[in-house]
Amino acid sequence: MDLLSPEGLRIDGRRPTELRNIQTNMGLLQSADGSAYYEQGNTKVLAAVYGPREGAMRSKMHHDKAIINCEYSMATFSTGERKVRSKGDRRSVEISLIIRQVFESTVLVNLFPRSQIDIYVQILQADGGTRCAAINAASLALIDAGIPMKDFAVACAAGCVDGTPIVDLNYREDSSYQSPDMPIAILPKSNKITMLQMDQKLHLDTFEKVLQCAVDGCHQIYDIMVTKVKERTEELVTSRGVLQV
Amino acid sequence: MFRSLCLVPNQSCWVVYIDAVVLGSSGNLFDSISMAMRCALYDTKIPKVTVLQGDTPGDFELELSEDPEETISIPLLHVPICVSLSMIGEHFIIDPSLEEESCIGTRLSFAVNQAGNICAIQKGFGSVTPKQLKGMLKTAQILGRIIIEKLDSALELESEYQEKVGFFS
Repeated sequence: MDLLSPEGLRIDGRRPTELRNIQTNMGLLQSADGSAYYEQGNTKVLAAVYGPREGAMRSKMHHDKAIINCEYSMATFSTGERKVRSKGDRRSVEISLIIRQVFESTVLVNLFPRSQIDIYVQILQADGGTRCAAINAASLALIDAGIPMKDFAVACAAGCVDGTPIVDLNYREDSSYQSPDMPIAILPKSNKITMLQMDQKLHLDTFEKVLQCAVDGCHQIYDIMVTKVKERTEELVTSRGVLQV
Repeated sequence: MFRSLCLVPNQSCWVVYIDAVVLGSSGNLFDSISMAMRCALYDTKIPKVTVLQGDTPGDFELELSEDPEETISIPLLHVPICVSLSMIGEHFIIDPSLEEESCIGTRLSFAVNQAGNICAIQKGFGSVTPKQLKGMLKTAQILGRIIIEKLDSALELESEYQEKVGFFS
């Protein structure tokens, strides 16, 4: 099955630079300080944030900044085939580390010495781009928790088929031998890259094009996220009577 | 319910995996999870299977229907839900909130089905007298039937409503 048809359409009918449909929702969980639900196509992710709060383990605390803990887990029913995953499963540990590193450089941790911020991400349905969706959901959850950050952390993946860069790969595309998979995360205002990974082979000449494609995808997602945050803020502020609309 | 999952007696049957993920808890998890499972079972569609005789007498071949519309659903008549009764002092309550749960003396969970049969009992910490137990059993049977009725009618209403707009949106 070719990932790109001769007419330039992908297997789900999208154009190469077209993202999947994105839906978001914030503030769903009462028990968490911040929470967000993020959906990109068929990938559905729920993120919950607790903190900044007193560190559970004294030995791990830093005297001048907060530590960030991250846990990424996939539900047994999230993939096509039911798969029971243990907590220390290698892929989950890797992605938890990646998300932690992204937010360690984005959250203003110096404002909260000797505390910890916990980010829990649960993948409810996986159809490619779960680590990117996890980062986006975590960004929104951190904003919902009111934790100060330098900027949004926005993630998107890109690949390329026969030299044509494609953005936002679904499961069939990123597991296919026809296209490499390059998820990245950026801070949109400064265009700084906070995460960069790549699978399979990619020629150096095409690298720049694919990277730019991913960055453009990130900016599109950023616009959607900012609109959502502004909507939510307006809701909150009107419901408290601070702003009369 | 189990007989409907049998394909060839003593040889093959369907296996049903039920996985629940708790996204948020504010008390009464047992009951909520059992009700969610009943809803998930209501929604389950199993492809129709035709059993064909193989070459040798004891040999069977299973043919799965290609049509996605040709499905059978799991009969819920005997599927129980959990009704938990928690004792605070001399009285018992149902559906405790998180704060109420921290005050309870004992919790007894009863699995009750539509016919009013008690399918399982599980006792948490604490103790109950036999007389209290009898009272709780009767209450659980009555409540179980009411809750199942309401749940089933809500599910029927939900299945008529065609438009599904994403998970939490």
